[in-house]
Amino acid sequence: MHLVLVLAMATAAGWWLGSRPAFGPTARRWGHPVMLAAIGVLLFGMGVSLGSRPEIISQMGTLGLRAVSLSLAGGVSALLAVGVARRLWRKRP
Amino acid sequence: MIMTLFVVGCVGLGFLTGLIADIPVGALDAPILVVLLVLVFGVGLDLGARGDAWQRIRSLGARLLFLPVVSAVGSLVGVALMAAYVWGYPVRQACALGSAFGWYSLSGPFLTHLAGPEVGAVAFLSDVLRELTALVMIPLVARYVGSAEAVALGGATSMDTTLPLLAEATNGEATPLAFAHGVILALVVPVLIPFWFSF
Repeated sequence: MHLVLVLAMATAAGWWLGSRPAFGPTARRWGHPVMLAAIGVLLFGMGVSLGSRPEIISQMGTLGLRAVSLSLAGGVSALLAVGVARRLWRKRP
Repeated sequence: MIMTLFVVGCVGLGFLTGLIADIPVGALDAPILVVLLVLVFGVGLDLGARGDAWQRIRSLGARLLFLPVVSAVGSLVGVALMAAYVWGYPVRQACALGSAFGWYSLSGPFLTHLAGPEVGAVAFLSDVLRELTALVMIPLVARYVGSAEAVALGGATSMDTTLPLLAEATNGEATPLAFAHGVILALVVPVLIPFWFSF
């Protein structure tokens, strides 16, 4: 729970700082490059974790199959949930 | 295209480094956590700096929460059921896998840190494929099913990568809704993924 709170506070702090009129232009200029750099480092770290474990490299085929099934499950179930909820919303008295 | 090359380049370079260098397991945990904090701070900063974001979200009224909540619950339940019952993942990992809503640049590294590289790799690949599926299917879904369903298909990417496509496919009708949907999911993801490992 500690990590959840820390991450929520970091997001809220960023939002608050970015929405300040005095800081807005700076945030617009730096927010995106900062995110891009952080994403690059995180993806590099993930690559290192994968590359340093031979047992995962040997399972790539299975992992790919799992990924395909999960991506389809996510997309289709979101679509179905919204479709059903929208029809129920329309039918309410 | 540039972003795709950037993502593939970063993961590929890291992968080669991991193959060549002898890096102990867990050595990157602390630095990765710091970078994660920087990233979620940057997400907040970026969203806060879009001055009209809050006004655009508020202007949508009840639909504002209806669509992201329903699409998030639907997506999470679908992925979690598939991961837990078909592939045998523990429930908390299965729920975490369903909590990224297509945001692959966050889900992969995040779950590598929290649940190990195997789960991280599956999260990364499945969210990349979710975005690709959305890019292919959005025009068809918007035309034959509905604009709200097309937005739901985009997941967290509906505020950036798939937004232009959603705007085009719905003649601009779903643009504010898609943007709000993406913003709300993007704010939820950094909190929801670690939530499943917090108890």
